[in-house]
Amino acid sequence: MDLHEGEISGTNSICISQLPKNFFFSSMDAAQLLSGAKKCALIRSPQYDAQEGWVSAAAQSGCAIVFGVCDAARLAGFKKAILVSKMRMLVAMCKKYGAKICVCSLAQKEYEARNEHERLCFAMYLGLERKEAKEAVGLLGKKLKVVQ
Amino acid sequence: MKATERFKKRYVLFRVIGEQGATESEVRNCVHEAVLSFFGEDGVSCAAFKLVHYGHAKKIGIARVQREQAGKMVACISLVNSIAGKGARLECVRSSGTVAALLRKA
Repeated sequence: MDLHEGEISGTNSICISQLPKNFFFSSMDAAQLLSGAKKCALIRSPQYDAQEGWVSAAAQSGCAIVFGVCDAARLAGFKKAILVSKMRMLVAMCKKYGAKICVCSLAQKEYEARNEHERLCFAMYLGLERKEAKEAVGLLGKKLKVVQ
Repeated sequence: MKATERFKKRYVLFRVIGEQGATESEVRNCVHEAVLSFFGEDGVSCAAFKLVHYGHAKKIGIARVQREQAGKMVACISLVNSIAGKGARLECVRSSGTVAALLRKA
């Protein structure tokens, strides 16, 4: 995990409150996901449970699974370790089935928003390669452009 | 010692941002606790972590870490969400191989 000078961007990600309502698709049902999710939708599972059927359905429907830095940051100690472990398993499963990954802040307050470099490092910490991590970090911006 | 055998290190510049201000000792304690809980005792010693500087006036600090662990250090610092129970966090601003370059570009 190597870090190059000058790569840290000052651009902050946006808060959840600034996003449109129902921006994230949150169904954990694979059948519902296949039928109901729009192409390129973002799916959020706050528990980060790695279910093969669900991840496979997400990959088939072209949806991206969202990973929030703040979800991990809000916890401490053993709970944080367990959540990060779950995230890592989910990332590995996404890579196996070819599901897209989106790494964002999921910030509730303005100061909680992480900059691009922090999100990139978090994505690499979860087990993504640098190239994959860059794609995962940039996905939210692309999706927002589509919505706007 | 040959240049290639030298201990390779990176310096990470971070700043404190948030709604409520934290005192200098609170920030220092928070950084040490966060790094220790993230890396563990063995990890901290392997990563050669050191809080090189913290300026409370500008609310910026510099942490030294082994070059291979720099990405993990950024992840560790970005996972801090509160300082001494107050709504504040540490934001990584820049990383560099020398402190002088960090301060010049900060």
